[in-house]
Amino acid sequence: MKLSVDGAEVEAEVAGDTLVVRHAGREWRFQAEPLGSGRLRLRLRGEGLDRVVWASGTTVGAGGDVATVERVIARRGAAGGGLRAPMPATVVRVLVELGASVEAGTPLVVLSAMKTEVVLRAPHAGTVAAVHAKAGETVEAGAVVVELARAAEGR
Amino acid sequence: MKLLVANRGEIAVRVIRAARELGIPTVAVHSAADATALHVRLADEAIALGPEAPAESYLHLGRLLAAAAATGATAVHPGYGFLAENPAFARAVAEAGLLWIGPDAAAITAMGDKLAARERMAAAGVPVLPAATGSTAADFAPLGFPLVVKAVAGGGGRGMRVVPDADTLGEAVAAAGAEATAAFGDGRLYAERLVDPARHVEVQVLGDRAGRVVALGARECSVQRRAQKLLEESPVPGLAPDTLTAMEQAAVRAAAAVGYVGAGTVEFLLAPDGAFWFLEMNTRIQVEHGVTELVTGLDLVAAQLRLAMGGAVPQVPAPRGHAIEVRLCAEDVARGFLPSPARLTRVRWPGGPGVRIDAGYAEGDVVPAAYDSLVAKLLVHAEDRPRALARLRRALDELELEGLPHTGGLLRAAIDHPDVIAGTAHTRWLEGFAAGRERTAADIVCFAAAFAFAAEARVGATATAEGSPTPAATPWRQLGSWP
Repeated sequence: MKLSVDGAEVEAEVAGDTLVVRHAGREWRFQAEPLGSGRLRLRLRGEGLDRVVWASGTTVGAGGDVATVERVIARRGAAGGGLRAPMPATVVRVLVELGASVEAGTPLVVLSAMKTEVVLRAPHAGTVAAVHAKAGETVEAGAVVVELARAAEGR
Repeated sequence: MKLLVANRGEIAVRVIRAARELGIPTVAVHSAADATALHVRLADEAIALGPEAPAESYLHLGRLLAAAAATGATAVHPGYGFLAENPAFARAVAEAGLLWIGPDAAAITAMGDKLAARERMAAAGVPVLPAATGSTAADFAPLGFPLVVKAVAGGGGRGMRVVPDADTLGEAVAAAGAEATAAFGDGRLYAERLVDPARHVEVQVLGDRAGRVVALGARECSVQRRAQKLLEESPVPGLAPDTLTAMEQAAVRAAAAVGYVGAGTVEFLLAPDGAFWFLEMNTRIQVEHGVTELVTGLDLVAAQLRLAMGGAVPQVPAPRGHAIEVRLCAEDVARGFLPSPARLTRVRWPGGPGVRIDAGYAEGDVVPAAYDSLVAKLLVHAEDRPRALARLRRALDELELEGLPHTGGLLRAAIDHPDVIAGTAHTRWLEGFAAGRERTAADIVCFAAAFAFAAEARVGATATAEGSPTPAATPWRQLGSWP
């Protein structure tokens, strides 16, 4: 399957108790040992690599370090120009209105989680096509909060 | 005494444990999100405050007082954060005839106004940095650059801006003022000269009603990010004994000047040449109090309770060995420390000699978005600093904390760095270290492998559920579905 690991392209196949992963022109063949409840021990002979990894939805981790992994096909289908909440959060302020035209980098929505505010900015110039967030509401991670139609010259 | 713990998470758990050891019954309070939280499970009784939002629960003075009345509590411990440094709460608790576990409202007020506190400290002979007051760039510019603009009502880095030169001063003053108004309802600012590089060193003090104040050594807290500490230790590596003594004496003068009763912390900036200046005093128990407990053998929460009941400050024990704490926070380091609330799918704490865990959560618990990101503190104690670092490496290697990103991986890497091993990291060190940490190809392929494995297991589980006649004999199937 074709995967995106925080944007990096990787191909991974399961073959018996071996996991074959290709990335950046190289192939890794891991010996994989299932540990139960969604955990896996990966070993790579000859490199002394021995790591326990876990997955919870699209979040995968090794210790406290995590990445968001998505199947590339699924990602294309769902993207749709939406700006997503990067974490479960409360909407503090919505800074734009429907139909507003914005520059790349314009702050659109302020979210708050764990006493920290996170500003979602326009990734490109465009027009606000939909606003799905209201101040005071809570949003799940990955929820589309604003949809942005790309400015014509940006195509 | 019957003690209401007006807090949540690891500090509520810590206070409940201390009270239990003293035979004091405890009352936990909780928001709707915390009805089954660890502190609720450990307390003798629990009472709901209101909805998840802090303003409706842990910050709601009226509901907290009503909870105390309803449960017959006779004392209130505020923990840290929430209302711990709110003089109105301290006053209301006292006026309701309850024992407040902390310094009185007057001492909290004196230290809460950062500008008034500076003046008071200077009068008491505690070194303070040159400062300027005002509300416009022109008021601060004469101080010289670089400088730091701070909120008078400040704390936690909010309303604070480092200003490198005159060109950016106007913008920084406006931004800091707006942030301070939003965070504290008080936009007043002051500015201090910037000390850079600087280390953040603080002294633990205890004061009693007879006016005695003792210092219990110092903690080094320089490994931090934007004023959020992530690694703390005691004693302070490389601190000259006479500097420590001078700092302890300054801290004692600072606390005595406001008639301080209970446990408190006086924070200082330490320059490379050994000069130091008063930063602020935290009039509560500190997150990192445990490192002082490990090297002194004292229980500081129990000491708070005894001092509040009129007890005398303890004899100061000779410090023993070295203690280090790391904070395991639900933050995604690779994405700019993005706060990342989620369920803890697996928790296995390290154990063995010299290891202590102060956790607010257990396996299966949700770390909610509404509160701070601290999941647990991992502390180690050993004969000396090299052995404490070795123990910390071992403990972090043993740790299994899964389901959300956290700071454990970053801190495990940090303690292998020569600057941390040498004990010379300054307050901006960690940010640079985190930014320079690159994800390797091996990391990326391991993440991909974990996902592919999970996806394959899901396919296997679905096939079985649909009555697939001959599920393939692969080891993935025996796992069942993923959480």
